[in-house]
Amino acid sequence: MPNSGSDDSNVTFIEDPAERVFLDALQTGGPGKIGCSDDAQKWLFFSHFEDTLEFTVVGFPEEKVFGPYEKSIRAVDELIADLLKTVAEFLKSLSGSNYGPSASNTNRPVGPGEKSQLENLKALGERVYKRLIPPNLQSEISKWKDSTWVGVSSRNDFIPWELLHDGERFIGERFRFYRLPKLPPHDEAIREIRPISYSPSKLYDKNIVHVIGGNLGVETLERCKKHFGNISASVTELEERYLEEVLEAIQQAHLIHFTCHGLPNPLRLQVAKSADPTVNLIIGSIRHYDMSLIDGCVVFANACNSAGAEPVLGEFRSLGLEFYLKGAGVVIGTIGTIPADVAVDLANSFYEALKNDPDGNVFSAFYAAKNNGSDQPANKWVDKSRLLRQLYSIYGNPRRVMCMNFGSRKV
Amino acid sequence: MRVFVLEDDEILARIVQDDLSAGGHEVTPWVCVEGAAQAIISDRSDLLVVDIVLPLTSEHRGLEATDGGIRVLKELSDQGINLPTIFASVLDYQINRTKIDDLKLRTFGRGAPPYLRKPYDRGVFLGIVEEIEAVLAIERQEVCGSRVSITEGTDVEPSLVHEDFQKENRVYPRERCRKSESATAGADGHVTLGLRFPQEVPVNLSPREVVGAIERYTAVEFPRKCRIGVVASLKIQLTIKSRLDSSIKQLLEIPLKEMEKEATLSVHVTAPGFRMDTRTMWMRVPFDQDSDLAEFHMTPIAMGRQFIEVELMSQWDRVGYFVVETEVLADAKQRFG
Repeated sequence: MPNSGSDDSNVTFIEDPAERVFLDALQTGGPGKIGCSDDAQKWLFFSHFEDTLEFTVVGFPEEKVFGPYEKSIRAVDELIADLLKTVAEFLKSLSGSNYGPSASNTNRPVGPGEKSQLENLKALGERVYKRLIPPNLQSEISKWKDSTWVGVSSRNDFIPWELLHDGERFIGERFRFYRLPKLPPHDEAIREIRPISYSPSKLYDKNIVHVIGGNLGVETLERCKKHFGNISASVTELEERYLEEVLEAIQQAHLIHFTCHGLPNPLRLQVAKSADPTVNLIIGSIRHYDMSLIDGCVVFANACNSAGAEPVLGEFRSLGLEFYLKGAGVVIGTIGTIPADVAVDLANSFYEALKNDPDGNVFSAFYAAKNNGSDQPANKWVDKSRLLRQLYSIYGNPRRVMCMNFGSRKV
Repeated sequence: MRVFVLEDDEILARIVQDDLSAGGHEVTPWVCVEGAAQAIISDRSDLLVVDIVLPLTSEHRGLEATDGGIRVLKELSDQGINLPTIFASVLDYQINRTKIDDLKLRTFGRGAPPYLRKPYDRGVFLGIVEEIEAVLAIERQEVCGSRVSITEGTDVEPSLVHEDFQKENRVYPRERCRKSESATAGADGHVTLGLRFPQEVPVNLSPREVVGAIERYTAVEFPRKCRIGVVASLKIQLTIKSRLDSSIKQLLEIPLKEMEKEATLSVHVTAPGFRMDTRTMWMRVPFDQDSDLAEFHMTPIAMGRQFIEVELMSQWDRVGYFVVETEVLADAKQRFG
């Protein structure tokens, strides 16, 4: 390095949370066994400044850079807030009254008008895609092979990526899509939250905390309690408890699962019986409560909008990102309103896949659960369930995740 | 696990010894620099717990060397011995950071070896011991008695590829293995040799010697103040040794593809307050050299405090992530002209 006389005191190294569990993953085959070196990988860098959106794609293994592609949109913040609102309202109406918590999960009749709702969901995704993505990038994306790993590095968490529709399929359905969050660089508090530190964690004895809330129906409750039925791990169930109790308990968990309602204005996970924001988990309670999660732990917030963005005082914030900032290595959530039966189905598929995955890789299990049923003969229910599963998103780094093999390799 | 405790505070040493013994570990206590390295080698220790401030000899209590523990580790390092180490010291980590970095000890994926500031929590200490023990146990299981194979035509020579490590892109050098049976050719184009790793793992076997993941320090330069419209250079390099003048360092672990001698990273810069010719560059990181220098020419277009984000991406991972802060001032001519 030339000019070695200067120092780099203006450089802040922000820890990638996934880094902390790298050794665990390395030892248990995480990085090597998920995918192979011939798999296509795209890194999609997205940022926006004033009225310009900017996208750059880096492709492996061909080692090519595409872009930067720019798109200028007047009053882009307003447009995005508007889009979010539209998408949220649409999804809320899509989930509709036919999808109560007690609805059965298979072969249920499809109500009148639902097919057109699904078509509208695709149309909405396509409209957003064309509005935000520059045409030359659209053209590039059309060349990507199915099942390509696509990691989006972005602070601007407001784009419902998984819901974007390229005219043929949803992006989140076509690719193995995940979000690699970035931390707000200007926020001193964030730097304090995530110092580079050594923090011991037990590698093989997994603790699970299952938070249940929101006055769920009896049938939903019974089904969601079976998620961990055959899993070799310590499971603590917290059903409709005080927020403080939940916040204390989740600090000891390697896997935190929420089965509850997710409510807007403000975004919150309903851990209590009442929907009152003051007794439930809001962004502020995660951010400001003096706590940290186990390094690299997994958070599965199986609730509506748990990874959806909310504009707060000029910045877009999401519950998923807040968990990530507190130490989670992986966060799974939804970017819209999910019917309870679809949500419980997906969680069951996820834990079944995780249990059967010898590497205990959360990402493998996530994609398996998301695509579960795609090989079934098409019928309206399967089709609708499959589409709604596209609303699930995952944050983290697939190859640096804590191995969730639930004791099968206990040392 | 055999734990060597280098600690001159006899009360603390006794507590540590009791705690570790209760956990089934064999503990060897030692109180001074003199003879420590040889004792560690003879003891065939798995783990070291090292106080940094130590007397040079047992008769020199009160005449401590402020880097006594470091001296012992340096002596071991000179003999090619690199053992998992937990530091315990009354001194702040920052005081010893450069010396510790220079030892290139195992970091267990955390960027630095475990370091406990006295007085420390016994639970935290035992947690670290437990974690290291788990990692070492896995390594032993995977190394001892396993078959290894050589891929024909490989240019990684001399080396043997352990079947398990091959899957993880990890390659062990030939000298770590010894031959015990004759070779047999497989139908898959691989020649599988009847080779076994030594039943006793060499004490200095560590991931640092594994080609599958290489470690590099980040070296970054950018002016703390720059002028609007005036090009400034952002220089990024990954180096084997940490720069002495660097006040902040980050140790990265970079996955290396199987059978390759260098990793390729893309370096992506996000800086809305700057105009740039290119935002993404490729960086080659040879397994035995410093990386290429990535240099970005950046023209400030916005005034005030600005942030430049840098991400280092391998095919599979974001291996590095940091932010450079700068103050963009008005153009000198505009201010004074």
